Amino acid sequence: MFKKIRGLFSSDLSIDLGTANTLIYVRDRDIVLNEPSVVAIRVNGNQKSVAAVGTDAKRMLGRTPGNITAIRPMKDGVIADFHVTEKMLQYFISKVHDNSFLTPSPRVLVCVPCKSTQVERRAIKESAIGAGAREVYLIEEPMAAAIGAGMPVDEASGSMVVDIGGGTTEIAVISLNGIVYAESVRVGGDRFDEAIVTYVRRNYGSLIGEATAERIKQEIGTAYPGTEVFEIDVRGRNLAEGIPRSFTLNSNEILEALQEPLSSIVQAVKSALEQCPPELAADIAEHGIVLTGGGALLRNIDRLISEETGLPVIVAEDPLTCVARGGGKALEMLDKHAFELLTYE
Amino acid sequence: MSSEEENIGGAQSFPGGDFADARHALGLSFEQLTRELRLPVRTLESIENGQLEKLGGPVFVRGYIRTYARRLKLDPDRYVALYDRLLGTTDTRSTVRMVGTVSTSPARQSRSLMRFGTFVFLLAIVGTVVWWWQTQYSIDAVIAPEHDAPVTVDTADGNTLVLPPLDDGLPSQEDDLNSALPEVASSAQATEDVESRDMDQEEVAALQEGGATPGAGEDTGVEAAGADGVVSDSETESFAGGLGAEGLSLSLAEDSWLSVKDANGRSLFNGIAKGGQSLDLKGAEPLAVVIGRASAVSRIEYAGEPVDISGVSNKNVARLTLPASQR
Repeated sequence: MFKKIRGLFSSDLSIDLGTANTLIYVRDRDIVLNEPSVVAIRVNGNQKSVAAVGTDAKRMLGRTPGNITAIRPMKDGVIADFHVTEKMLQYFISKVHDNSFLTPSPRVLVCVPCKSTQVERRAIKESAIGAGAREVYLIEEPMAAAIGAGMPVDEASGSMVVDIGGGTTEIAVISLNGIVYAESVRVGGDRFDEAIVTYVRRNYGSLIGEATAERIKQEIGTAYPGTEVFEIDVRGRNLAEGIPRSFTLNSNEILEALQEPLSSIVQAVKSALEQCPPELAADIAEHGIVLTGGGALLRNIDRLISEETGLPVIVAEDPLTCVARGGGKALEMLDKHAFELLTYE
Repeated sequence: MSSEEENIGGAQSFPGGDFADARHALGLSFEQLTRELRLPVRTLESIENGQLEKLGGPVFVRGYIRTYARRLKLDPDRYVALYDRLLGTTDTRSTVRMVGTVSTSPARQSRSLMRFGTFVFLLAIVGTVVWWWQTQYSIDAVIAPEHDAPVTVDTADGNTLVLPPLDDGLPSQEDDLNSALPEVASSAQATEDVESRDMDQEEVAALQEGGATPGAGEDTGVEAAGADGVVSDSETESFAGGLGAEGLSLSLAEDSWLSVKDANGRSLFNGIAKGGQSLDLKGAEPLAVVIGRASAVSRIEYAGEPVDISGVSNKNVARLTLPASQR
């Protein structure tokens, strides 16, 4: 009963609970929160408390003293630490509600990877309920991404969406509000960062952190050789000397570093096209493939997939928020007729 | 204002000619661009002719325009914005309005307020229950007085008189309640205190008549029972006064629990009737009578007619409705 009363003072939410970032779309208000999925935990004896969540916690990554641990509770698109995820969600949900008198109890739609297991889905659902949600609905990420990108998912025409997230890359062929074929590979932005860290250690004998690797990827990272070459100065700890050293990386080196994860994504896209029914494949060949997710912001990734598949590839407008916006649109249709878009445990 | 700004401000059609001009300036053919961009010739022609509706959904058209413009070294954002204006879409990008930075101590302010609110709510519930209980208790006290509670009066000479209950058969009541209330006549109870003092009837009568109990009638509103106010074991007096032969009349040889209710559910008598006591009860018919110890009843009459309770007794408990015809 209390949840229903609290629900009157809560807004319906669509949450893109991503490995790298959590985005929250509030019904009738658009996206109001975009924070890294990072929680800093302070340990006092046997007691653990939340020291920071989101941007502040991410700033602490790799810079924490012994009694604070900055952790990312999501891994490969699913929950790695249930309780920390619950705390993080609880904090984000309360953050997007202006009402500070009553603890919010909203209806929540959470996006889940299409190849997540029943256990992983149940964990996400329980986590959202534990964070105060009144009702929890799940929607598969590629479906939400397609809706958010504005693709004609309800038409009898094949649409292919590739959502490159932080932990996973979701590939789906959608027609008539349903997923005809879906594939999920556990390669995403995090794997790009790891690949850059490994490349720098191997070629420069220096160790850089995840945050530095992410900055390199965002500033000079490229997926296909271009006419321009970009450079960046980075600092890392030299493994041989044990002291920090500065060195310069260029975009061609990063391209080389990213070859392995990028080829995994390309292979997955090709595999999806092979599995696709011929009629839908013809539609996709005519319209092209749409890229969404933070990974779509990697320079020339559309060019790479286009060259590899021979199909037109389009990066959706504002690809980072497509999933959350698509979830929001599904949420707005929830009371009418969008139940076929939702997934069940 | 430049021609492009004018286009963006009030264009009615997409300026595909810009793309054609740029392509000719760069010396590119459709075949070359198709190989390079993987876009069909038909798509490129539709963009140059401004026939964007043939290209499918907006998400695809934006992508084609962006790709083609980038290759022709045109500003893709400008042409996409122009397309959005033609489409009626003001802004496809989501402006993420941050709700604020994350504080280092994410304890919720609402928690304390919620606790306070819950405390006030529980306090209100407890207060309501207490108020209700007190209200009910006081009503019960008014409605159901103790019928068998005797009134003890100390006389001037140190003796104690025990008089029948105050509430039964109050002839001095001035309001209409008097007519509604059952008139109960009860015999004066001979108490053990009086008996132990071996007071004879004349002495008691003399005390009553001589005003030995000053204020007994004035202070309590109860007149001394009976004409002479004598407390007697044997003599039966009607406290209600003038009941006549109608109503229920019963005498008990021994103590028995007795309950008499009238048709309105009002309790005419409820409690222990003493042995040797005679009762005349009158109320709206039918009367529901329960006698806890049927064998203790020496006489029972209703409307002047004797009532046989042997047939309605079960394990010495008699339950009957009077008159018998309304049972």
